[in-house]
Amino acid sequence: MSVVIPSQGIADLAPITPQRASGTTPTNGFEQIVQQVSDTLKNADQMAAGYAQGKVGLTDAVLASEKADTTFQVAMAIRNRALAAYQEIENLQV
Amino acid sequence: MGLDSIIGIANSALGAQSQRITLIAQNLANVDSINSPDGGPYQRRIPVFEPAQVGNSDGLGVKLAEVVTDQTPPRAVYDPSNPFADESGVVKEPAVNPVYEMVDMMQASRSYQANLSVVQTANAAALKTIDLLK
Repeated sequence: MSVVIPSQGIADLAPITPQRASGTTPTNGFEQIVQQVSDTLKNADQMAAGYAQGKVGLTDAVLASEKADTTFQVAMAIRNRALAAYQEIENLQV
Repeated sequence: MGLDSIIGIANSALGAQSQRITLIAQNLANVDSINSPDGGPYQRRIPVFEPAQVGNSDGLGVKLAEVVTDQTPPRAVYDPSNPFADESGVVKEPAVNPVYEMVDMMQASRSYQANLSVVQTANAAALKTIDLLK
């Protein structure tokens, strides 16, 4: 942690890269879901671009987008569930 | 996965009906084509569909198996001034009936909508299931 000198302002912030905790593998639980959702969203994007280029049919592009939306909502619901459970435990009276 | 299978199957049907409408468009466009590349008047094209495996889904989707030509003899129209008329002044015009084509198009359109409804139902069911988590 560097000292902030008022006359110099704050140095540019470096982008934060998420780091995997040592000893964990990408196959564990939620990370895998996030990976899956990310892949589905990317695929939907590619299909939309493909439709714009005339390589992919309209129905394929729309249905890929629809599928991505559903997958994303599943992930969000699971995340909310997990967070709710965490908060429940956090609020336990000791 | 169930939802994927349903949407995949419905998607194959949407594609098949689009191809059917494409052929109807072709038939209607060529209603007056008296000189086709393969000689003689244009022959009406008819799609033949067959069940087909879609991806790794549970059920069978549909695909366009082949496009056959309608063997109905061409309409004979008397028009001696036409350069394509034979020695008795008769021109052979395509045996395409626009009324049939329009009816076929309505069927294709309804079928397309029916399959869109399948997609909607599958999606609504999936979203309702997700609501269980909320």
